[in-house]
Amino acid sequence: MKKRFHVLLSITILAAFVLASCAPQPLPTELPVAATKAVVPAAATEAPAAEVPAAETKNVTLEFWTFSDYASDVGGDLMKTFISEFEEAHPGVKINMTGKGGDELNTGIVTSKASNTLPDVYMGTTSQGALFTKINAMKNVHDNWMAMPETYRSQFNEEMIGEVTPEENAMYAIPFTGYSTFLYRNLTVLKAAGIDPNEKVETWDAWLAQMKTINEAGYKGMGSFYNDWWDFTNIYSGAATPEEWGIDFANQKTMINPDKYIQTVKFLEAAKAYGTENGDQDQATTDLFLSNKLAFIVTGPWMDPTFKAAKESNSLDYDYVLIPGATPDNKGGVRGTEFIGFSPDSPNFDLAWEFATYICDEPQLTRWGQALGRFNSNNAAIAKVENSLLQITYEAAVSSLFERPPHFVDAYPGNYYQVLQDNLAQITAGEFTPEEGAEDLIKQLNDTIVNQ
Amino acid sequence: MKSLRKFITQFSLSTPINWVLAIIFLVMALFPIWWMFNIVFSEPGIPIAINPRLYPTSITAGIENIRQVLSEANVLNAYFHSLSYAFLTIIGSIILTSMAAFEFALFEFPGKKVLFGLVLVALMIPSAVTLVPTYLFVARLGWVNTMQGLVVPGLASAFGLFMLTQFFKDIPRELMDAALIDGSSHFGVYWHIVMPLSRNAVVTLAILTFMTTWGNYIWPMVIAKNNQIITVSQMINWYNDPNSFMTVNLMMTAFLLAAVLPIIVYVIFQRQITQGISITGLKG
Amino acid sequence: MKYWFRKTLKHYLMLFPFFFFFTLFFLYPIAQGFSISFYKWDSVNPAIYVQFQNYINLIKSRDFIISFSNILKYISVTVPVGITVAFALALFVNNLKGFAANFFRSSYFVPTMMPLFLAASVWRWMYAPEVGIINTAFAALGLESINWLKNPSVMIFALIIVDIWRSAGWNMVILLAGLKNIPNDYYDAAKVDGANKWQELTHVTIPLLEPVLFFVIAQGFIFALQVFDAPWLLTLSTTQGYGGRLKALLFPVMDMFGRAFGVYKFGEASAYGFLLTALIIVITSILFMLRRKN
Repeated sequence: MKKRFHVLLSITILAAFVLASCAPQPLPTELPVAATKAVVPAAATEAPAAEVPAAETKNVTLEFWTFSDYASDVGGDLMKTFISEFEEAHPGVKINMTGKGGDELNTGIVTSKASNTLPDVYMGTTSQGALFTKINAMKNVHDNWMAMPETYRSQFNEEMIGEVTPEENAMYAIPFTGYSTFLYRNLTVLKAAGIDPNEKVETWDAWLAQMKTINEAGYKGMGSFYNDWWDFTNIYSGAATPEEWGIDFANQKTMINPDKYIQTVKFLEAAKAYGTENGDQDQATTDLFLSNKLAFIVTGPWMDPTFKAAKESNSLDYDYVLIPGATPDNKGGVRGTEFIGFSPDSPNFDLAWEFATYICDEPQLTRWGQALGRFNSNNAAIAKVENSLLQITYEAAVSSLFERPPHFVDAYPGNYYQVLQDNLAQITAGEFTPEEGAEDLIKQLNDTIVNQ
Repeated sequence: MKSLRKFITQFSLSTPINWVLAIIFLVMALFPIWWMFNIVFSEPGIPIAINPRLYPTSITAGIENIRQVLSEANVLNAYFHSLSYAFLTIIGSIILTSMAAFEFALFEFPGKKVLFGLVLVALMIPSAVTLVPTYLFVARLGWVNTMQGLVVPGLASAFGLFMLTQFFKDIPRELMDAALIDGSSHFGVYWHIVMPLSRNAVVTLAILTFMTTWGNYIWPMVIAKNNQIITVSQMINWYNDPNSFMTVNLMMTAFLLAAVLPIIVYVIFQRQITQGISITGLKG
Repeated sequence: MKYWFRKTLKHYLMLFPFFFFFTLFFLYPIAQGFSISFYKWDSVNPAIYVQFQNYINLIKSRDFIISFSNILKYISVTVPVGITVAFALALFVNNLKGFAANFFRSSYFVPTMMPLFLAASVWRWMYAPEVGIINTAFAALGLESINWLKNPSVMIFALIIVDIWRSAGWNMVILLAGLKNIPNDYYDAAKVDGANKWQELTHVTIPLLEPVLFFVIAQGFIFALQVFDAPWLLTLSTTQGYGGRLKALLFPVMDMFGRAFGVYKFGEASAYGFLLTALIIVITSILFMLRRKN
């Protein structure tokens, strides 16, 4: 009796295992999107976005994901204002905004697609565009775009539109904002080291000389650029041209130029002696800058509010210039663009489209540009904004490299930049000479691309 | 006389070196919390390089920080969700594990060894192994970004089962037998005899469950992605992201508040916690 | 017959709720995970059956070898040192009475009460080169600043320090309970035999503490083998890049996580998980065997 029972129990457990061994399948796309409530057929929307049309009363919730700094503080307040304006014009519609950190956002889009819980409308960066389209997380909105009136469409920056339109009739998002990086200089430190801030630094050699002087005066030059591929790219950009960066998907190889790589690494190794080991993006480095111990920080316009606040309390004297390049005709920096994308599975697409076109319209983007100092895709709005940060962002963008070019062609292998970082680590730890490192780097990167 | 000898023994074992080492470790143990506290209670603008925050320097700044953090809706949301998550897990976990522990501790039945062995194996499998399949299963149920998705997978706790089983073994047989003779049902014995007698054990389990859910990092990261369900452990990502909005002092305030809650719980329930942990060790 | 059935049924009814959820959310995912490990799957496209390819790829992969050698390095230091520290603390607290005992015991336990993700973030700030509190203290003592989290040879020690800081309290509490369980008569007898403190320790305390000590050691190894939160946060890892400089803090669970959510190779990640489970079982078995030999 007992034995029979044991046998039965074992068989049950075994059967459970066998049953569970069915092949995993992607979830059927007919699963309802978990986020939305009462589904009511969306009204056909042909109306231009400049007016916000009166909508029928329906209870719809739009899930909207954005970057964490667009969801809080100044950006967040403004976004919330836009949202409440839109909600007022559309009774019954509610927009749920969730702010996410960059990496979280990217992973989140992929995992949500797999579990059919994509947000209706979301922001992303063009550097991830290829990945998102590859997993079908972005709706082709070309027809919707062309259906917008010419007056609306002509407001927009053609280059940025081009970035989200990889082929004829394939437009995957509305471009929203962009950034590029530049060099913040602590004028107190420079002056204390006896350097005239008006002296132009045009080459890396000149920059190194300045850092040496600064170091000899008892201060630090700049932080470490080995922590993150993004930091490194800021400097590499000063030696390389756009043809020497990115992935050549057709030929499955990396476009990094080994000689320029070696040159950059040698510059960074030399600068190491005059600087701090804290990473350029680390809070510690910002602290050193704010306490007038460090001369240079390379970052984007988002740090300006912190520095401005310090300046207003008279503890910091600073300015910003383009990042010096290896030669006078080149400058450093990284640029990126952000867009608003749409879930292809959402039953509320029309409303999402309305919302997105609303916030990209001139009155909204003017306010946005004024508040945040980031350039955006709406030329009409930009023309109205007066912000010196905008000026330098545009200038810096000219010679900056994109994060992951080419856009919307193919997804970068997930560990592509990890390879770069490892290589930098090996060089700075002395395992490789710059020349050996460059050779190994090209080989490893090509392997990574091929083995994706 | 005996007490005098004990007194001397106590001190002779505690030589100066022991005390020095003990104090060093004491400082190490408490310093991070102390440091966090100081960062919260000092003027934010002054960079760490100038004021290393070895002691609090400004009460008003601290209060302002706390006020600002608590008025940030996202932060309050996160605390609320973590609390709900902890509370629901505790209730569910206690019900499930106590019923099963009742059986394992006090009765023999066919298949007992098999089932217990199964749970033992569970302890040895890293939770990360089950992460992806559990996520996909939960997603198929439509539970992504929901409280049930967060709570339910963690209810059947192997550790809880072990702990309660050890505790329950101490229940006197006579009481149970008496109840059965008096006509109590099987469930009745559990509900009327064993559970009331195990208040300590249950409280301990509740607290340990609280500790684990409050500090759970991986699962909420995977399953709770919207502001609607975000937990305390994900507040970290707000700061760690270089483009984030929070400054050090605000972030530390949020951290301090998140750390303080388990510590308060510990201080109140010290006895139960140490008892619970030790009992698993003693009879493990 | 019917009686047996009824008798057993009531037990199983009580067990049912627990095992229902246990099967659904633990056994079933494990089985699924095991089967996924034989497929190549990125969660969007259909799964492709690849037999043992995932396992073979892993064993040949450089990262896999690094993560496993890292974990062995890690556990061989953190568990013995950590338990020694915990034991020393337990001995110390055991000899205190009243308020002192309570104060020290609670203070040592505070690090364990702090959620690990918080602790890791705070430690990351404390470890900052030159301006972090630790290096500031070094500077005051005339020592050079150490780049704790970016110097590959030091990183694992930075992690071990955080781990010991955290686990000492937990282990101490268990060991303390064990110590208090040893009746005083044994110590009195030892003193009568003329034993000094060291002999007391090795001939009375440790042998009598053996079951508890074994439990703490086994638990220590099992947890250490699954380390994730601390190294992940100390190195500011993201799914696109993790493990720290030169992968000095790359560990199996991290690599598994990164392969699943970074490059979307769920089959490989599952295979990884099972290889790690195998390692845990092997090490636990070794521990049990060593114990039996003694």
